[in-house]
Amino acid sequence: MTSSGSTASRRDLSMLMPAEPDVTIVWASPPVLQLPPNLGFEAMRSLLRTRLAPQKEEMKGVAMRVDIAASALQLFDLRRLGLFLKDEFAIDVIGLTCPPEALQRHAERELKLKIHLQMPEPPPPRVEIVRVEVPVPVVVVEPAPKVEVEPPPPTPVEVVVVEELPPQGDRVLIVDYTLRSGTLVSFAGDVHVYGDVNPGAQVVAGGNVVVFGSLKGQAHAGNRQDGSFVMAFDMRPTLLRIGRLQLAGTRDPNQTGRFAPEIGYVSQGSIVIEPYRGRLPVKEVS
Amino acid sequence: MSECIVITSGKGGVGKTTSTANLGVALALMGKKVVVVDADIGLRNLDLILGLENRIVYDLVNVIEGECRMKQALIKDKRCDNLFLLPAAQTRDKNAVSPEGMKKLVSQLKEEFDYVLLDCPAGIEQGFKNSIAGADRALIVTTPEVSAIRDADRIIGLVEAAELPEPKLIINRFRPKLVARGDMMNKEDILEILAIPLIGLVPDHEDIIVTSNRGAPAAFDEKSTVGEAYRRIARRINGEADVPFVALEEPDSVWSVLKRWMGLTPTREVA
Repeated sequence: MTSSGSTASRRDLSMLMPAEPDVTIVWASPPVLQLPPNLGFEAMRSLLRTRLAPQKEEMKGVAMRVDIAASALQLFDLRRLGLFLKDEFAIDVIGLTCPPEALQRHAERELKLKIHLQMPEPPPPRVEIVRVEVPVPVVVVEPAPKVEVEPPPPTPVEVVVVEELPPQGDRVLIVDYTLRSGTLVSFAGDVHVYGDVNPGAQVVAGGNVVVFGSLKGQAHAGNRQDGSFVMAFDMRPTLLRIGRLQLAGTRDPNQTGRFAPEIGYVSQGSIVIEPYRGRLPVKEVS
Repeated sequence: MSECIVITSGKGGVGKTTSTANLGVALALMGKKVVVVDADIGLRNLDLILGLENRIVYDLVNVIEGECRMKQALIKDKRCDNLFLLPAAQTRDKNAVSPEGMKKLVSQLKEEFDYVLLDCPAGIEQGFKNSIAGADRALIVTTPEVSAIRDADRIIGLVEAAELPEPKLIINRFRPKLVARGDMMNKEDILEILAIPLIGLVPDHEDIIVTSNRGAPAAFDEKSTVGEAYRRIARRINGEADVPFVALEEPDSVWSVLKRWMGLTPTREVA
């Protein structure tokens, strides 16, 4: 393994070089994999593949922490990242450093990862300092409490629950695949599904639910917010809930779709579904 | 290049084991070296369908636990030299095996065989997780019933989440007559819900019951339509493009031709 000295020099280098997206490994204990900012999952994966390939042997079986501080990874990418590292490099991801609170909650609850709010400082580089009376302040790193952490489970994350909105950034959770039976997506903001919601799947949103496909499962909009709506290109839910109201399925979810956008919203104390004509209903103040 | 294919469904009784046996036979008849693995530990059936029950000495759990060598547990089919069976243990349960153990077993088998077909148990618990752990791809078996399709949908989600490539669909027990009458879901409806490519459409036929009970899979029978359906699936698995689907209808009678001519029945359901 690389000694801490070379880590320091690599760090210095990175300060001099123009900021190019790169992966850094800090050989702390446990080692930390720092991911570059502003990369999506696909780009990140190919970068990791090329970067880690030369060190594949020495990284085998190493338990690592991942710092995704400023990268553009989404909620759903975390698990894929963990599996990717495990499969290709046999790296166990045991911890995570990331800013938005939502991600942390997700990681802690669903992926059983230990969350670190701060990066541990690497040991200070040994530099000869002349005529310094005050010693260089040494950042005392408290050893991370030993927690028995399992690697991310091989079973899929079928349930995504985010109860609080991230303080900044996306208020819309985008689900870019079809939700199959048995999956639950719950988000404090709006949820957009670019696919179908199949029978047996459930979408819960604090705000609106928009399905750019067939809504055949359950949808619950506005459990936080009045005046929310559910919109779908093909509206055949088994159960539609808006706020505290509910409407049991009146259409057969097993029939083939017709694809005519419809909107469900609350009007005079009950849920109405009508064709969507390109205009949102006027919000009723309750 | 060898490949491990898991045959799964979620719901029980839709024909996973029958499909595994028939596909194993069909692939072996094409000259491929095939092993069918019964992953339904505690409820083994695959040996019965293949008619190899009385030749079991060691089983899959024995191999994984290192009590015997792989060669000792593999049973060679009596009718086809390329076909082998790795039976499940009947006196244990699904927890006797871990996904890691299964992965190791499959990679060991893949060194020797062209195709490893895994017969997955029903359900989504340990047995299912074990089965998909070592698989390279999955075939989903369903029947044209709402409950089977709902379960298949769930299974497809789990298979995709396990990062296997997109699974392919086998629709089993298809009855063209009922579909023509509008009493059974048609192929298009099923494909619209499940949204995965179709690899086979197997008609419902009494052949299957007869041959399963006799321990001689229908795929051995040159004349059987069900056997032909499975042989065609095997060709598609093997990468042959443009294998046409079997025309699922009885031979035309004078009466049916007349009815169609008069516009009383819809055009032929060709699957």
